[in-house]
Amino acid sequence: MIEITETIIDVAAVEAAVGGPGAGAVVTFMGTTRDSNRGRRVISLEYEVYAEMAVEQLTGIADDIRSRWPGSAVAMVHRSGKVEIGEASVVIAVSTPHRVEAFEACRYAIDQLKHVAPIWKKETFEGGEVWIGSLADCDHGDDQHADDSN
Amino acid sequence: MSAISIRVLYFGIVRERLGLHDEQLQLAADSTVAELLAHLSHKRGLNEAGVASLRVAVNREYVDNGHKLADGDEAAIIPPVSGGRGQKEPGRKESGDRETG
Repeated sequence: MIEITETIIDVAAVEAAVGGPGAGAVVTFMGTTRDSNRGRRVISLEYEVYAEMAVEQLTGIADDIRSRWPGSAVAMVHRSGKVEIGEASVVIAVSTPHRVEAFEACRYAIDQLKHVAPIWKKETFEGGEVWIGSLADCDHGDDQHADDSN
Repeated sequence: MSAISIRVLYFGIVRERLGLHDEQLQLAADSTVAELLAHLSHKRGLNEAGVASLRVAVNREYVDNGHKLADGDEAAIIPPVSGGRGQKEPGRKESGDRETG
């Protein structure tokens, strides 16, 4: 299961997608939206996704995980559009025969997703708005190194 | 062939600043991604620092600046993605990244 969705992510469905008789461990990562970032009160968040490419990139990450960790299964779902504070913006479930690999592979999945998925986050906070990541020529100073919301 | 036609997609802060989601561009045959970026910088007024922080995907795969464009390509201008902490240094070449995918 690799999906971009505009609706609330069904975590149980993502976990169920990686279950099976060979799975000895399932690790789930859920990234949720915070109400503050660098001292500012965040009012709302919106994700913009280049969906066709994002699905291809996430499929590539999943393929990579299956070859690195034999016997693993991966499911990834990311939100697009407006996400309310406290909701999950991304859910990743990984199953492997043993637990150590499940943690490693799940960590690898979210790190890779953050690195290559063409997904952008815009925060609207009290007094303004900002694209996280941002461009060097229009940064609001400290935003370029803004923390990951997840 | 003297010219190629490509579709350029804009996202995030670039889309917002240009007020444009996509456009069709005519470029000289054998134009590279670097030449596309130079063209956009000139035509659209993105400054050097801004352009250096962009990545480009052609037909949904990241490419480096030396990649040659072909007629009918879809070139997406990719501003820094939302994962703040794991982010690349601006301008770093991406050619090896997809080895892992």
